[in-house]
Amino acid sequence: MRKKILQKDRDKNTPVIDYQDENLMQIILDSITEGVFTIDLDKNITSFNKAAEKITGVPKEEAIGRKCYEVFTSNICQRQCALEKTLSTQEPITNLPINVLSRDGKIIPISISTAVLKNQKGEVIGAVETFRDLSVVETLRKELQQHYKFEDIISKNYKIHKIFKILPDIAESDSTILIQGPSGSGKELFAKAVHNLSFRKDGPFIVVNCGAIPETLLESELFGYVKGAFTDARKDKPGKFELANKGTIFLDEIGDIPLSLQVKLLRVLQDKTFEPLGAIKPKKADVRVIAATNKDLLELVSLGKFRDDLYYRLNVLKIELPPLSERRDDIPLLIDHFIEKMNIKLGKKIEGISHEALNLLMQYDFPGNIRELENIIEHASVLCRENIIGCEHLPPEILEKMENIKVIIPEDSANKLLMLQEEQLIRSVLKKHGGHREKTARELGIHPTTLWRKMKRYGIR
Amino acid sequence: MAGKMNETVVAIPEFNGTVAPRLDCASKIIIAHLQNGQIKDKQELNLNNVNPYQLIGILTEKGVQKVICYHLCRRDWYSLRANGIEVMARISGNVEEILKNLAAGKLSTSNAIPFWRKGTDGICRGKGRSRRGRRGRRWEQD
Repeated sequence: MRKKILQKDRDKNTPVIDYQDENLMQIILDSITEGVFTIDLDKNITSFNKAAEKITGVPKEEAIGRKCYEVFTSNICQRQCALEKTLSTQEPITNLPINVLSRDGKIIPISISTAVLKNQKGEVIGAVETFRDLSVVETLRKELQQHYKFEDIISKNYKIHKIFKILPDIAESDSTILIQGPSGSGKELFAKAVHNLSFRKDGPFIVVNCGAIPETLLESELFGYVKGAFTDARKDKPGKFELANKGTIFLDEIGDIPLSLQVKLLRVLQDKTFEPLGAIKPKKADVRVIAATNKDLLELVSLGKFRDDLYYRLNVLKIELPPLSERRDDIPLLIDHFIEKMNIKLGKKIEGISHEALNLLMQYDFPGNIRELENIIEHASVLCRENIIGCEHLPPEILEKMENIKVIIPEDSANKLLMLQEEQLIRSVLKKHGGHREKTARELGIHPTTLWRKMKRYGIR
Repeated sequence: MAGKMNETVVAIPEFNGTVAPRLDCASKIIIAHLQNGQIKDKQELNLNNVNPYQLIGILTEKGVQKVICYHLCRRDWYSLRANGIEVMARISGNVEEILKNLAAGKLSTSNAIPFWRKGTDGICRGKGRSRRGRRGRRWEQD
């Protein structure tokens, strides 16, 4: 039997494996839990390990000699083949999330890495692909996502989860709700969630953007009018309050409502009645009111722009939504959600976002909050022709804004910080012992040789 | 009208002139009208911005009766079947050749069923006896 490990280089503690031994290579490949297969320059499979058989469901005997795309049937085979890219650029690809179709027709999420294979002369003879089954990870991720979902709202932020906890109780009551939060923070989604959880869920959910309707029209929009109320009133027109009967009316941007109308609104809230324009008799309003604003209503009250009695009538139950910059932990979750949404809307097959692009977005301030993030993902999805959204797909104004901000890769920074602290600790203990290495090593609980090696690494003399 | 009745509309996802390895990821699909042993008409559709759900809709709209592909996921197989489209899977090779052979009635369809339905041809056999047996023995409580 041939010696598997050559004796030379023993003194360097680096055993050299005989790569010419095919049996040994197969044993090694089969012992790996990741799927491994190699191809030649014509994309014919030349080796296929046990894990690859298990993940794809294709026996090795059937796979060898066939085109890789016939066996592997991944979602990138026909459009952006990773092996083809590696063969042409000779650059390895690491941890690319894709999916494959197993023999039994199941879609299996996997992560792949590719590299070129060279012979002893350094000529490229093919490529190797390793892949990992992400089914369990993906199932757990989906389970977690369900855990982070409440009605149509997605969040794992503790502030939002606090709201999730009280939302069913708030919905159960029929009291007026005031939702305060910056523009684009999802006020309407919360209002809709309250409506869906309430006993009025089978009734209508009417949205009125008070800031978007001219002051002169707002009254007739909200309360309606009767025939003959004014020149063009040729027939009765029901207002939003009437349309929302037995349901919920969502008054967005309530802070923009004129003072004259605030009195009428107050009457609806107090007496549950309203009068359409030109009507003689008041009408009953069986409606739950949810108001929302991005302004500080209390400040408007102090400035005399908002009636204090109306404020207190609206502010029975208050929900305060934080801006996206205060719930950054939700950004990756929201990105995944919007990518899925855009895939359906645009007919795309985008799998995710690159680490660099995610890092960039994690540091961005999002003045337009979730709405802005959704627009960014839509922009990127339109431009993205690959499976992963990269920095180049993000809107140029974001890239310009972020140009001056150094992108920090968390793992790197943590590592550097650790090294810096280690260096400082060694220096201080060395100083304490007057440069005595043995005493220093003893205090640090490491071997003197280790200390010497670390001193050399940090340039400590 | 009689001629129209003999017409078969076939769709084949294409990749480099051959049958695409996977239906849901194909970037184009060939829709061919076969009549009286010949390819009467052929059109190519770009699927770059089409998701699988839209694809089924397009095929139904185009009156496709048969899809020939190499592999497809269960979701697509069930959707196609639910829309009355016959699926011939595990067929590979040159698209032109396949169309010609199909038109001439020479395409072997004995193995053209998806991998996971191999041996069953889409029909579940022996269901009743097996179910009765299971009910009687109560496997779950063993």
